[in-house]
Amino acid sequence: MSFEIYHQAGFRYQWNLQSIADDSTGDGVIIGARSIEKKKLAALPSEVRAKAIFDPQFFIPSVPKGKLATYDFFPDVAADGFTSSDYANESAGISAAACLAFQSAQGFRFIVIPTRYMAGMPGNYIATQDELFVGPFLQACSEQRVETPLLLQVVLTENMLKDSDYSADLLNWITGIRGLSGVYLVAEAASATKQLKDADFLYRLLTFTAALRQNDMVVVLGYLNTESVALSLADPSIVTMGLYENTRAFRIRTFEDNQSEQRGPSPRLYVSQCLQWIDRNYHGAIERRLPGGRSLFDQNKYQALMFQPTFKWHFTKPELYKHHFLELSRQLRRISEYQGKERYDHVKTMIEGAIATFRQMEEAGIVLDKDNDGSHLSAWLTAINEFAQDKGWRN
Amino acid sequence: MHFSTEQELVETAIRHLPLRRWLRAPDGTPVFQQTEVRGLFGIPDLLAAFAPATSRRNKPQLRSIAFEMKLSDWRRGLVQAFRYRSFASTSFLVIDDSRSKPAVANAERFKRANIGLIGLNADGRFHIYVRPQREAPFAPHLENALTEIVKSS
Repeated sequence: MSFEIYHQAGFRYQWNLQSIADDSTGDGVIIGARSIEKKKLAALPSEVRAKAIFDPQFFIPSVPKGKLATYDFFPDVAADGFTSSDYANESAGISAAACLAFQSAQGFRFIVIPTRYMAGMPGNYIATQDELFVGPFLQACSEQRVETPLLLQVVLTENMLKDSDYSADLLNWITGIRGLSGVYLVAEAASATKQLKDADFLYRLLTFTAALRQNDMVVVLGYLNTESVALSLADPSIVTMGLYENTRAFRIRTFEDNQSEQRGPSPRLYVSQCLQWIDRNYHGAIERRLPGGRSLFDQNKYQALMFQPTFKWHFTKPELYKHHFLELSRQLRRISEYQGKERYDHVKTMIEGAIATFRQMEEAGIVLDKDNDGSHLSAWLTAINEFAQDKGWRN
Repeated sequence: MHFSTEQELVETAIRHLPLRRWLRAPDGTPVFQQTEVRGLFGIPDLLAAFAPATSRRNKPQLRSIAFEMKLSDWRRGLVQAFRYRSFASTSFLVIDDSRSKPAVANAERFKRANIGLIGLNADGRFHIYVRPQREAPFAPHLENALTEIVKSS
């Protein structure tokens, strides 16, 4: 099946909307509540909302970070101070009814049942999610007679994903929830590298996604970076791409109250042939040392602007991200034309091509650091090969 | 005898490496020398630079040498030293000579990257295993930033 591309929108969500409108880089948008006030969200054009998915971001229910405080159904706001037991007894139903009514009134494409982030592999994960969110939402759905398809948001930690019994229990739970159309799946890797470099994590996520799809569930894969290319093999319904790093990898610490101010990253440009973002400060080395190095950088209207000598590179410049959306969406659209083994062959060729390009750079005397090199690619290749083996696509 | 800390390496390098000669700076002219220079690409353990006098028509060409110091981790050192080539015309990895064998065995990688490799002893003796060619920095905006740092020092 072909899949759709959604933008995981956060801060500067207007750039996502512009990119979709101007460059057709996506089919819709997932809007994080933290980054947009409730009133402003409701004021978005109806055609945008009709294709949108709302991310309630209840991950830490006691911390209404950013614009979360403007949503009266956010647990800490609804309960006037969140504690698990009081919320379950007194506010969960009220919050669920209000959150559901809001999503329904906005005409969003799906309605999302929120989730609470739980670290590690807690024994009470399913019971907690059922008690705080799933039960109250299903109840509210039946009372409000909402017919919009329901997605359950699930945040998987690395431990959950890598424990076969635990992930099997989660699959049983999810597929057993009546009235659910699918899952808005978010996976948190333990390692905070800019690219996903853990082959086992990626393989498990591929397997988990594929299992949900085999159960005829819609699967929306949220908070993805370039690994969407590899995850496409699990036949997800929607893959996402984002602007700043906090929309391209889920990290619970970014939702914590006490997160200290961090220095902005140096500007990096997405290079589609490398399946990697490469720091602007390396571009000169690539242009000078790699034969035909300039052509490695994808040519488009944003690249033309950025490579003018007067362009002031900074990580807050929209051109960097609009360039990324244009090039990655082009790659993903191409992938979505293939299915099954053909898709695997195509993605494998892409990854092998990227590995070969990094090898050429190394032979040309270009020494990239771990945030800019091709060290993620061998892990991706291992994961997709293992997945293809399971699927019988590979001898 | 080997070094216990990178700081010892830095101090020994400052005392014994002929920075003025390598920068071709005439005696008596000011040479910029600073440890842990920030605001560029990476933080070089030591940076030395010299701005030769030029005619009005010619833009001054800064001569600069960046150093990364490592007790033994040559791979990480090479990556860091290569970053410094974005703003410096020459970059070296200085490694404790008593632990330099693995780095020297990979001298070809240093040559390919045009990064210098120096083995430094605790008594100040040093050996240049790979001598790099001076080359214009890769990132003109960072070269300009370094020029400003040197000017304002």
